[in-house]
Amino acid sequence: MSSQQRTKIISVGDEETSLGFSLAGITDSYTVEPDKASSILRKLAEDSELAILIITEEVANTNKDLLTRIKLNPYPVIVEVPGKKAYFEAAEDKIRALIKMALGIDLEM
Amino acid sequence: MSSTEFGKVNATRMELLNTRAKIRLAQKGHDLLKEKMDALVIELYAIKDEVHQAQKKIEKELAIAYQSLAKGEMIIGPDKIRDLAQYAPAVLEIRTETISIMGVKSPRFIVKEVEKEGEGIFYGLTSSSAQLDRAIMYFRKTLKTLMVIAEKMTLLEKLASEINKTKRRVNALNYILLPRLRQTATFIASTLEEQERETFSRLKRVKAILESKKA
Repeated sequence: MSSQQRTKIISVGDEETSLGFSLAGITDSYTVEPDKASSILRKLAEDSELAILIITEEVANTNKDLLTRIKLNPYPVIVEVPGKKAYFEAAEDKIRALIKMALGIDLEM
Repeated sequence: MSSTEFGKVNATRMELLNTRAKIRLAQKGHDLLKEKMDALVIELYAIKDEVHQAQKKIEKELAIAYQSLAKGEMIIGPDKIRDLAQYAPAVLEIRTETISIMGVKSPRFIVKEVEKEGEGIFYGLTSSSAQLDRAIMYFRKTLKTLMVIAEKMTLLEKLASEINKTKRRVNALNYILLPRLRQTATFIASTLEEQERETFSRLKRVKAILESKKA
């Protein structure tokens, strides 16, 4: 059990995402291009106080391998959020893919 | 003796008993694991809907939030909003915990709303707009829904992974270990039976010889 509590919430995404979540009062937010996001993601993965990492779908898609590795650790928990267009492109597919792999069933959500 | 896939096995009664014990054990393990898998699948089904609902909710909340933000930017100007964002207080305090579902560990976030007096609105009347209020409200809502997704999506992924692992073990027991064990048991049993017949027919011959000697 970690003796230090994780309390931070940080977002990595485009300008609107950063602005929006800053207004909501999260700990910190970073605005980067998806293909330049890897170094900040790596740094944040090492932050021992970070509980939740919010990233846009674009950032997620461009950094799949890095994120898979980060997800091997219990924290930080990574959540995907749609970019400024405000709808999920592939979130539903992700769930379907997971279930298909686990159960062999392709579900209509 | 002869080799099965286990290598050389002595065809003795002890071995037969041992093998049968192993079969019972493997069968029990297999049944337990299958039960575990069923339970995990039920959990998975329950969670997937919750995650899906939360994602749809976020889409709605974010749509309103971004709209209001855009309108607010038009009224006050984006720079002003960026300045204000600096002073936005944290409205959620989170603590992390680990919960265990059917042996699968997953994070849980304990969210406390920090609503200090007067801090809800952190900017003056003149320097803002109702659109901004709305934007902030909806971004906060989104954040809360995001906590839910963070928890549940992680659980979903972990459940799926555990189901895969368990499924492989169930199959390994069912299609590899148990058949081998059963084959071994059959082999031993038939060898023993063969030996008995051999012994029996030997005894018969010896008896016949003794009888003829007597005569």
